[in-house]
Amino acid sequence: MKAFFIILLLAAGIHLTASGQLVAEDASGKSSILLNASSISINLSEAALSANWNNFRNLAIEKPQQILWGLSARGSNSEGLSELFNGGQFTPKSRISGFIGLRKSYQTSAFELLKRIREIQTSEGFPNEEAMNVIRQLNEQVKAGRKKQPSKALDIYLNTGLNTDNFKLYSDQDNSSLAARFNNISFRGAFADIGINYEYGSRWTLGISAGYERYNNIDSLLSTDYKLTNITTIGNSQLSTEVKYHAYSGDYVAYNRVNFRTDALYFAKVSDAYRLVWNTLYTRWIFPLNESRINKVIQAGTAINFYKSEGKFAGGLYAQSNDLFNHLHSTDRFHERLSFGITAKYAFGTIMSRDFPE
Amino acid sequence: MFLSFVFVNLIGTKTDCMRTLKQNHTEAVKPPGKTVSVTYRLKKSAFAAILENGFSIGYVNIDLQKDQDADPNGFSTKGAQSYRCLMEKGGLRVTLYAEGKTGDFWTLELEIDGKAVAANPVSVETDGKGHLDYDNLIS
Repeated sequence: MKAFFIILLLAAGIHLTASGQLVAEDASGKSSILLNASSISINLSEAALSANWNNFRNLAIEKPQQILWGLSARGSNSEGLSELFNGGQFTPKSRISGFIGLRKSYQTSAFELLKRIREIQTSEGFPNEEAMNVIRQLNEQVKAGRKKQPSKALDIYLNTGLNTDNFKLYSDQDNSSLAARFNNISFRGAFADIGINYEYGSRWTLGISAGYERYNNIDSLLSTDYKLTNITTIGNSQLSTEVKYHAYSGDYVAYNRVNFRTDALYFAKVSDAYRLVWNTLYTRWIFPLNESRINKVIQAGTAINFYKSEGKFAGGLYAQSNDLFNHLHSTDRFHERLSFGITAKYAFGTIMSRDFPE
Repeated sequence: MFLSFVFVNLIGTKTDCMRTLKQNHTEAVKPPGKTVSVTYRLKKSAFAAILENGFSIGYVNIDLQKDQDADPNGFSTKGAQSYRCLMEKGGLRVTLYAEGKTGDFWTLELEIDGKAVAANPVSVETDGKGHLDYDNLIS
């Protein structure tokens, strides 16, 4: 088993160009499941940095109901690790979001009995033999009830936010000058998702979400590096200057779409030192609204994520079909529409609230 | 009635949340055993969660909210803090109810009157139903 993990970590080191993902996220960093993993994440291949701030530390104590909230920011930059905010400006590609949710645990009778025990423990005249007997009996009731009932919990949340893309779009329609062919595009999108998580027993957490999003097709544009050379000649002297552009070309479309996502997490123990969270099957359903130039896309994948028993994330692998039913007609071969990647996630014990300590 | 239910709000009070072991003026019988000073350190894995009011040592409810460490997976008495708990003849009754995923666990270390107990560390792993429960006498 140790050798397996060494191979896994070596693979992580070698395949830095592979697409990355986070604990329960798909290749683009989205998920329908709220895991109590508040931390900084680094995506190796896309050079992305994300930060989360939330009250998930309250999840260490299970209550009948509790409110969850969180803020997260994610920035990426094709030229290296991003700064989340740069002089008050959004980085070329960034997303900020906030969520609020309600968690309900279904250990109702246990909570009531434990509350009664506490009331007895803190009452005037305690301790005495008779009250202690009552507490023992109540504890027996708690245990008997829990033997019959697997743990169950439901989370309902609203996740909303903004995303930005700032880039240059190359268009060969403008013939006034070559420089004029590079247009600055400032895309401002927004999204809202409603999701439900259901936890059952020790193994399963299921998640589903539905959302509306203002999006663009930058992912399908051709990314190219251009070099524009200007030559000025005076007499027998020649001055040449170079301007470099990183620009996208193709039919750019900003549009509205509806998303559906599902996840099914399976928790297992690998060894004394390692655990795994297997996102057995996740799906992403994307339907554009009133935009015939954009096809609907259905993605599906599976992902295995390893973490150490104390909670520190160790890495993972995923396989995803980016176009399950070939709506994009990119290739008829199913296996060519598959992508594989590695996962990397680090937790910094001194920064913000965290559930995966160093 | 053997008890007069006067509810005490523990939040913000000192940790000696157990009432002095005085004889109730009613027919209640003085409990067997003695009062001891207890400190503890509880560590849990990432996805484990302890039920509200679900942790008691020697018939004292442990205030988890107040005892949570900077690391959200750790709970402990801090500095000179201790709980005044009832030690029965058979030992110190420790009850803990928690939920978790497969492979999750919690580990508890106790000191009674400044001395580590022989049972240290007490450790429980998630059962098939997703519970990590414990109810035993520790001496």
